[in-house]
Amino acid sequence: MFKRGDIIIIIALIVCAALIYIAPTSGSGGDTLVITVDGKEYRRIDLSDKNYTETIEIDGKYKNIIEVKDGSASFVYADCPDGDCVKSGVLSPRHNFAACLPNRVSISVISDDHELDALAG
Amino acid sequence: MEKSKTRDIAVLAILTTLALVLSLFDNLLSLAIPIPLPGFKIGVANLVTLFLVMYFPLPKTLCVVFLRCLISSIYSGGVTVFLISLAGGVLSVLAMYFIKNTLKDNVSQIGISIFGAACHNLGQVLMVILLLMSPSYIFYLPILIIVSLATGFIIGFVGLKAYPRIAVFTKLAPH
Repeated sequence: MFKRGDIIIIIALIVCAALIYIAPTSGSGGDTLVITVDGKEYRRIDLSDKNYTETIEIDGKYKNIIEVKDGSASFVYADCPDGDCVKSGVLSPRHNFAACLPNRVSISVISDDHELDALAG
Repeated sequence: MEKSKTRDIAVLAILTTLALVLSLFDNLLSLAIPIPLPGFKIGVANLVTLFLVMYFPLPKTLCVVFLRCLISSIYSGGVTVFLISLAGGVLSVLAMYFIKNTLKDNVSQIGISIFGAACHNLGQVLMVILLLMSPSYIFYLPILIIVSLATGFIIGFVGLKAYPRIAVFTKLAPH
């Protein structure tokens, strides 16, 4: 059933996945939360204060509620059909990005101010 | 000549419709599977894409994939969803033809399907990065690639078993 090419493809893909996974995650372990709406920066919040709590509501095509607490952030509510952003859960150093695609809202944790632009370059 | 053109239009229209129905079915199926992975889909509609890749030339396949993305985003989604699914669809089609023509007899439909599924995810992730201007999204790609090994295998395996029978029925020869 499997041919040689199939095995090569599978191995190559696993290697690719592993390489991307272990690639230096410059964005991880940061302490600045960036919220973007429609590809533009909307809010920037300092997460170094672990006691800081805020609930942000964004009304676009759909409604999103983002909760900032314990030095991290998450989507807690979305009224879009799929609700993928809520399923993404709370941001962590490995998982430092979540987005509501129908609403084009994203939240990400970065370590300093200019790196996001440098990567987007 | 004229007759085969009419026949092509009819067959491609049926395949487009089939792809649309399967993608609706896919949405329901993916909701039923409790995997905490945003945007997870088995990609049942890719059964049609893979069939096209095996039996039709590239322009016709691209045409069906474009129509599927356009129509399915009209009844659910919108422009953003259209751009994301088109990026995934087109990249996966190009990738599947590329791998099929490079490796020829050394690769089966399973390999082609897995590679297509992985490139589908790559295309979508790249489009999301472009739309949101958030390169961080790339870190989501490894898990998607691993998942696409499984979903690509399922589609490829079903195709391997089903296509020869469909091809006999529709009098199609592998392209």
